[in-house]
Amino acid sequence: MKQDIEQVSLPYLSRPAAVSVTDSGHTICIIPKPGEVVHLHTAVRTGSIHEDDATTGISHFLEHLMFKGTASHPAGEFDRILEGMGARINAATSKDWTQYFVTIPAGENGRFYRQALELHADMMLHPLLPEEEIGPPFDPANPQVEQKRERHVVIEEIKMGKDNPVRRCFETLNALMYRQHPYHREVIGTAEVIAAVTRETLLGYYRRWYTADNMVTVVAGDLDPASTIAGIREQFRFGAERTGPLPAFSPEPEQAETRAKHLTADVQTGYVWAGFRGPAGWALREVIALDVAMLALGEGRSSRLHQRLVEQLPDTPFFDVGSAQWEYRDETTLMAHGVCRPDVVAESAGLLRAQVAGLVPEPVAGAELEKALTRLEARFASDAERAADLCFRVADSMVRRGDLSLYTEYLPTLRALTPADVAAAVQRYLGEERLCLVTMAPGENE
Amino acid sequence: MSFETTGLSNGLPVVVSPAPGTPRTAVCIAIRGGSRTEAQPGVAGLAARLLLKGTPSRSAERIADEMDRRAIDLDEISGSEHMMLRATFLNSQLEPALDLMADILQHSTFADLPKEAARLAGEIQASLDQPVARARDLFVRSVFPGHPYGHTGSLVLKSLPGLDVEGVRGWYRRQLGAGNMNVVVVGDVDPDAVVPALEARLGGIAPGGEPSVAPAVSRVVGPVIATEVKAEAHQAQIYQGWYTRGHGHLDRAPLSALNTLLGAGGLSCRLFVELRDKRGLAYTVRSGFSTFADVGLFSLYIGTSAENIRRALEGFAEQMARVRDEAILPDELAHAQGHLQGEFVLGHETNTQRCTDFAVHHILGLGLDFTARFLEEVLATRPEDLQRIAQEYLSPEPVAAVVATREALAAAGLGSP
Repeated sequence: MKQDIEQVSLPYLSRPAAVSVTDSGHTICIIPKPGEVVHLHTAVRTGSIHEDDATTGISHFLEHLMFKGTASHPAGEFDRILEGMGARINAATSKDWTQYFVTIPAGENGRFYRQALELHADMMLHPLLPEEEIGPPFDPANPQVEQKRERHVVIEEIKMGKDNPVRRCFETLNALMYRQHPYHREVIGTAEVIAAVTRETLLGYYRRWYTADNMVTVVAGDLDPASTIAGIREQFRFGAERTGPLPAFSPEPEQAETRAKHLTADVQTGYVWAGFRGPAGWALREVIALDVAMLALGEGRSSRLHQRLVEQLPDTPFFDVGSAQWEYRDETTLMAHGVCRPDVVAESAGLLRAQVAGLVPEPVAGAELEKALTRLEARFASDAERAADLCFRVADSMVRRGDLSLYTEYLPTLRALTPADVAAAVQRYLGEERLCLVTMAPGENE
Repeated sequence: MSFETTGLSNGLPVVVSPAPGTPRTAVCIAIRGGSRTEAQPGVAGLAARLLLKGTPSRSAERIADEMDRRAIDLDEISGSEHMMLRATFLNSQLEPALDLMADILQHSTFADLPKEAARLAGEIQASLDQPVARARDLFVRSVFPGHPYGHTGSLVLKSLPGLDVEGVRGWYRRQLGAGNMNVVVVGDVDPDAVVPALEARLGGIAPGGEPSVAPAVSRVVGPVIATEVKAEAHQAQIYQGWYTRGHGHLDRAPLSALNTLLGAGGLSCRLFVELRDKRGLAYTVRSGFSTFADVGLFSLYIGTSAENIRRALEGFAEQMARVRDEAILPDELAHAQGHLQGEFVLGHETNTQRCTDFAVHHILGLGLDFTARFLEEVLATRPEDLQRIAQEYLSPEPVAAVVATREALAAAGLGSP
């Protein structure tokens, strides 16, 4: 068994993190952090990217079913034991990853943490996915189903999303940006697939992707790194299956011109979403350059969108604006968005586009760049305050790049960033020909 | 959580809780009052927002620039019983952050009201585009008709055109007074240095401040089901609620334990297991318990498919009958108590969380040791206490609100098609 433990310094933490990879390929990272709270987190490098039209949504459905018991702990026991100790339990599925986490008080001599580890490892390695918890397949067009189980819970989640105008705008934007790459599918999938998918399909998916070499376990808390790693190795006793190198997908063909879609819905306000496909999520220098650009564009009260479109524009149509970069492994998503008066949605879209386009002739530099650097650096101080945030950031780096470097190299790379780096990234990724635009105004649902 | 208390020369109470080795400091300045003292909906919320919109020496743009340039996270919080300015920042920014907070607290002009009112109206409208927010709005104004606790977004929308600078500024000035406030600092700070820094900036605030007086709550007698039609929706949004006691009452502890056991304790609580896991009725189902000075509100919420409204209401009725009619098992109560104990640890992980806790409990008159006392009360709760409070407060006749399509409401017998 490999015993090597690599020590890695993290910003704003006095003790280094410890990283170890077992013979089976399971990556373990311990982040020593003072305080009574421990966060335990396992990320699996799979999500909607590994689905097709017949299986869309099963990564997320499986995430729900992972909580439905093992041979050692029947459905409900995991929740009962840990929540009785005060734990917060949850999971999340995205395009590239599925993550399971427990935040819990460490307990006397780490007793609660050890219980959480035992249950968490058991859940990750031995889920039963019982038929009675999945529920029988049914016709989603027939609402008179009597035996409603987890399939229906997920379909309720799908319906909740359809009633949410912001979510509809984002999913429409995503579908405009991607036509071939698997990122074009919604993570949550369709009611038709969820109503019909079999346990065998779900189990096959689990066996394919939930292997030692495809999992990363991260723990943050006031723990001894070496013994904590040993404890995790002891609990995570994997079988022989391996995922191997993850499949690579053909890049989405280059977009030649602006794509736009107008939606109508039962809303009282207007919505404008502009999106662009960004660089690979592991291409740190470009990702940071675009973090800077998006921050200057629309994050914070002094950003361009806030000042120019909300505060200073006479008779502005905008009530709220923002921008962000969401970091996926194959490509990031760059977004600028606004909420506006419903009668001037097209004009508002024009104003938003003009501000994005203005990043080229009026590049981010000088005081604006300095401000962005300060704010991005402060985010690391904020991360260091919460065990959960630390684990999310570290696990994200592991998923996108396979190691901690996206987190540990971020600040040195940021400090070396030049205005030319930002301008080059803006030129490359935020051109009008790459723009996808979604607008929504009051009207009948489509 | 150790802390020191002192006061400025004008009587303004100060709490400092050192947290050595932490990278960011949190400061809360709370003012007693809040929306319960407003005569028209929206006055308190608008006053809080306008604190960031300019003083004689700082324009709104400069305030925004200062916050972002120094990475100061600054929020204005408008609550029912208080207003609060809260800042979190890198330790090196303590002095500039205090300068900024002190200036906007004492010298805001409120001149930007028309523009900010228009923006607030748009934000409320966008929020009401979310079905759950719309149902919550209907529910709260149905529970507290004619009372400031019921000043929801939809009522603020109607009221905003009638508000003016003098009215909003006058309301704020009446609240602002050293005897009506507190300031709390949590971080890697030296109390001996922080208190003089606060004295220099806040010691000039006049003593006093208007006492927090609000009209009495007129309780609606249930059963009542308020409905609102949403033209298109895949789900129905359902709230139910019951009146309880104000935040100083001893029944707060058993009510909190019951809330945890029923629908706020995560995946293992009763509503989640019975209505979600076993019946597949919802992705989100929960209970809530909030308290005000004079009254509390215990509530249930579910978002469920349009055709499930009756089934969901029946499910709620079954679960509430169960807590009234069946003895709570000691194990189940112990589970809820353990959960609340753990939540206490998780809810105080950051300096910002601890600072907020101190400031709110102090300004509400609950005391700086409230959380610890409250936990003791929760741990002393017995199963029969839960059944007693369920029988006393949670009758079979709640006030409810349902937002759904016309067809869904009609199918549930809640309106005509």
